Amino acid sequence: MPASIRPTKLADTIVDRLETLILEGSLRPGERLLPERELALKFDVSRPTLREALGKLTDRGLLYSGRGGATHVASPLGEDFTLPLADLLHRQPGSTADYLEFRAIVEGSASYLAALRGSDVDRELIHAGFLKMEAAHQQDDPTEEAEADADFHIAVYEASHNVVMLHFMRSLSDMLRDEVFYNRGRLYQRQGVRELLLAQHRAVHDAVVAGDPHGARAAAEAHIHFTREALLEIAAADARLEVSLRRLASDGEVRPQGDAWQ
Amino acid sequence: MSTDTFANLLRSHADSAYDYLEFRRLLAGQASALAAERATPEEIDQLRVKLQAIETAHALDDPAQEVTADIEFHLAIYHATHNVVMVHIITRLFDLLRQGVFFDRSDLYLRRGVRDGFLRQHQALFRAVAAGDAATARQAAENHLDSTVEALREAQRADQRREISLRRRDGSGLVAKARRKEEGVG
Repeated sequence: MPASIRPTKLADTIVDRLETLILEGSLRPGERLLPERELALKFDVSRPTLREALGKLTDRGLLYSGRGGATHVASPLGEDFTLPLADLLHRQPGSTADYLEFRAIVEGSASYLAALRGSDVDRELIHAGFLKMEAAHQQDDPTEEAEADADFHIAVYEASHNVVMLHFMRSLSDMLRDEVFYNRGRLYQRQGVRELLLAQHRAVHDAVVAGDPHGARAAAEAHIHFTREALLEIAAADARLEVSLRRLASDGEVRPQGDAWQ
Repeated sequence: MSTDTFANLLRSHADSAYDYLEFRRLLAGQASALAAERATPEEIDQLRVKLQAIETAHALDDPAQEVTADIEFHLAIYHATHNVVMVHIITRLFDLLRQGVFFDRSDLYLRRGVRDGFLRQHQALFRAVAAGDAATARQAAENHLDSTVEALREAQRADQRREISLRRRDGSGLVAKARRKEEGVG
């Protein structure tokens, strides 16, 4: 017997719509929604209906109320995922190398899939992301360049059209921005590294935009391996510096510096 | 975790199961290759024990027990990569599986052919990792995930087909005159 056909509750339709936007990454963690009044107008529903929908999404952990009563998009994986990982990385030396090994695996496949599946819109976004990186590079703004770098990789994950991978990698990217894994500033400040990083991103960009999956995988893996090598170099240089400082400090004048990973 | 935001989000979108399995596949291939290169003799012993647990459950015809043993075996492979970031992320991915977000794994296990196939794939994966053969281990892991995708697709289609069979047998319930016995499946 066919089930009776009833219209879905308006609030539930809005919940479904917003959920889909969050899952596919069109609504991004941290983004602030329009004020209730404007949202209600957009959906053409009453404010109580809208409020009911937002309430349900908040209960599900997909939205949260920020300062001034504004509603923000939450990170679906959330702190349950990132906090234990951050803790692990602080406690375990060498886990930065593990992070980069993991990144090389995912980055290679993500770039492969992006080259295979990316739509013309995805390719335009990746191109725009790269241009932003290039501009920051020319203006000699390492902070801006590091941000554009992270955004570029997110654009590649989005173009891979795998939402599970997208959410995991977005969480890791946010941790990267918080410098949980390593100090990006130190990486960018190192002589010659910035030029090489830009050239590597250009190679990934070119292969993805050209729709060359194997080339994209190779370029992405080479990029992450280079990053790992560069960070190892920095750590080794720091270790050498520390030895020199310790020699000097036998006079009790100078404090040794910290670990490059931190 | 009683309220797993991410799990619930994925649960409401059935297609995310295929993204999940694709992500698992790309991690599994590489992780199994690393495990083949890095597993210590103690870890290989552990893997053998976990594989034996799968074989025991299989012989007992106990799908629930076999599913649990299956996950334990895979986790042990990831531990043998000695990569703590990998282990953290894969543990979260297996959490989703345990919560039955995408499909009921024991549903897949109810099919004899699928179960036998999974067992052979686990044995092949173990042999490759124990032999330190990275390329074969990668291939075995990818084959296993490919089979899982295929089994899931078939299971979903089988559910849809059964719905159609039921409607054909029982009638749509939309016509004026009820179907006579001799006209129906009977």
